[in-house]
Amino acid sequence: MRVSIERLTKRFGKVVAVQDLSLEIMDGEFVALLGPSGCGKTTVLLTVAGIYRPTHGWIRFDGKVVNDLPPRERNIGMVFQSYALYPHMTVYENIAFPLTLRRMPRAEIHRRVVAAAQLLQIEELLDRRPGQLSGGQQQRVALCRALAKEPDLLLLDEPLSNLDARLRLLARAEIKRLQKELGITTIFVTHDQVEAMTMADRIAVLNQGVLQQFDTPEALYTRPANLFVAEFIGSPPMNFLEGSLTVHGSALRLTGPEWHVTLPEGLKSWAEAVRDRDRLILGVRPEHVRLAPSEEGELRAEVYVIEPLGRDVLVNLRIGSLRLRALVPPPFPWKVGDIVGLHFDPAHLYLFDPHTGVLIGRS
Amino acid sequence: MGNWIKKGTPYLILAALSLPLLLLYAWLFIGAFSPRTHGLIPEGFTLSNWSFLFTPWGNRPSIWVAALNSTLLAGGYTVILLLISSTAAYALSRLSFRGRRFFMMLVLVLHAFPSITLLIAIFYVLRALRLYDTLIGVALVKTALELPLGVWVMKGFFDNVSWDIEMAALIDGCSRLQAWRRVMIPMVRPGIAALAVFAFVLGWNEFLLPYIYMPSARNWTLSVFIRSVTAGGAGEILFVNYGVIAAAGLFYVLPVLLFFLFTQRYLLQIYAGGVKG
Repeated sequence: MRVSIERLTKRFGKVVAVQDLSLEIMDGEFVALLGPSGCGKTTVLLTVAGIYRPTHGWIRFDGKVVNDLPPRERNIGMVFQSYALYPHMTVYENIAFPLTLRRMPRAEIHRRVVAAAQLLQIEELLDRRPGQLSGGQQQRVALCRALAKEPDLLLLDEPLSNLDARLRLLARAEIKRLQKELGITTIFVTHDQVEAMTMADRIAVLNQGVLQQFDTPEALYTRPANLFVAEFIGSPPMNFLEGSLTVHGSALRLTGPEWHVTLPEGLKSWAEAVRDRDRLILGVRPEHVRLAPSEEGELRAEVYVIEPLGRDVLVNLRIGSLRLRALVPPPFPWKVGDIVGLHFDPAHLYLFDPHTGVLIGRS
Repeated sequence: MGNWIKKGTPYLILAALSLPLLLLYAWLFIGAFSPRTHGLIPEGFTLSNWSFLFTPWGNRPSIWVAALNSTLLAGGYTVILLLISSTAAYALSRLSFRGRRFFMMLVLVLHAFPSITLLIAIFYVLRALRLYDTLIGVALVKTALELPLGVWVMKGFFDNVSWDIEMAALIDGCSRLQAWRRVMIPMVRPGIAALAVFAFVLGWNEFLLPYIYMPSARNWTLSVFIRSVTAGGAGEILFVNYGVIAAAGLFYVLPVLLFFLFTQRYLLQIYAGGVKG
């Protein structure tokens, strides 16, 4: 089913939870709503579910406006962060509950419950009560209850955040596989950019109720629309250096209090277009910072903290009051307090407008 | 040794404070089974005090009629209270409507209101509704007076059910009413049980309302019946037989004691369920 969110605004009293949001979700697509807590992503989900009514705007399913349709008539499956299993019912009754409400014949209910339970490998739990299950099992039951309805739309509200790290990794892959296998249009709410990046076809990044960017994970990573997306997507987050633009012969430099960076060819034309701007922000991802002996680099920085991550080493550096992060392959030959030289990969630099946060250009 | 004193002291204080109550109950038990007592010392053993179970007592109706009336009053009032509390509390806990906050404050104020000041007004209302001197009339009055507490306690239980569960029910295909009946009510069942026990005991112990609003002897509840024994019935020369009174008192209190033994688990939840604003 195709889901269109058109100019959706949702207010609670004076608080604006979602503002003028428009998203077009294709049939069978897996879309993540990503943002920090309180950004309005769960509000969007509950509005699509029909729990909240839009203050302005429309929700359409396959082109038909459903603003006034009660939740039970929307044929939606939903998994809550708390799983929201009915504690007074067994697992079987939980999964069967939506089907019973539709007055489905008993045999058909049984067939569907067993099929869904097999799909999620929880057949042996059917007689238990939710209170007797582990978090991972409860999550499976919740997903099973949502899928047994054979919904047109699956809504997932942070379904992984109550699982431990190892289970989360398993469930992540599992949900992605199921979604592709069943082809159900899915909206997934999360504050974890890794979850969104690994699972979703497209990601809508929200901040304070406003859509920042709606694009594929790869595009969000390589072409962030603004500072917020650039910082939110990618772990560890992008480094930002704010300075003023100065001309040195044919070269353009961004100059800060204790440093200056010569802009590479790729960024020069962008920078020239905004020369009237007094200040600019240069963005560079930690994986695009190279370290060198102190006399070689373009910048000189002090090693502040070293965090070995196994495959890489995350190095925290400082230049005066400026903090930078670099992700470099081991072995790491320096120690805390050493002065090292820095290069920024000239092919992966970004320029942002410090006032609006908007991306000006990238090399 | 020091530790022992430290742990034992609170119990000692509690025991000393409870002693008068314990003595009362002790006297009730001893007095009910002896012809006379000197303080707590019985003078022999007898069952003759219990003859009122089989033969009417003076010109009064049988005590079994009074027991039935007490049961009907307490049971009827409990059922009405539960029905209204569980719906009203759900509305106050879950629905947003104009005047909700005001209504909640009103409930609290009414809970604190001294209902005794309403006695005469209630009399007129009951008479106007032709419910004076009827069990259902008194049950309704008792319900009205205890509703603030019932609503407030049930609201605490509803508040403790997560919104997610109710939303899940709505998405799974329930109407609001179905969600209330099939998901919310089962989840507050401990609260309902607690309130039921609490209300039943309260109704069973009620004296003032049946005494004032049900004067006919055929409507007497046990509490009124026992009062008539201590105060003397109409045109009766007062001769107080304490042994019989003790027996009647024991007859009155025994169901409550047994009830308590089996249901105290639920009663405790009235407080564990918590009252959240």
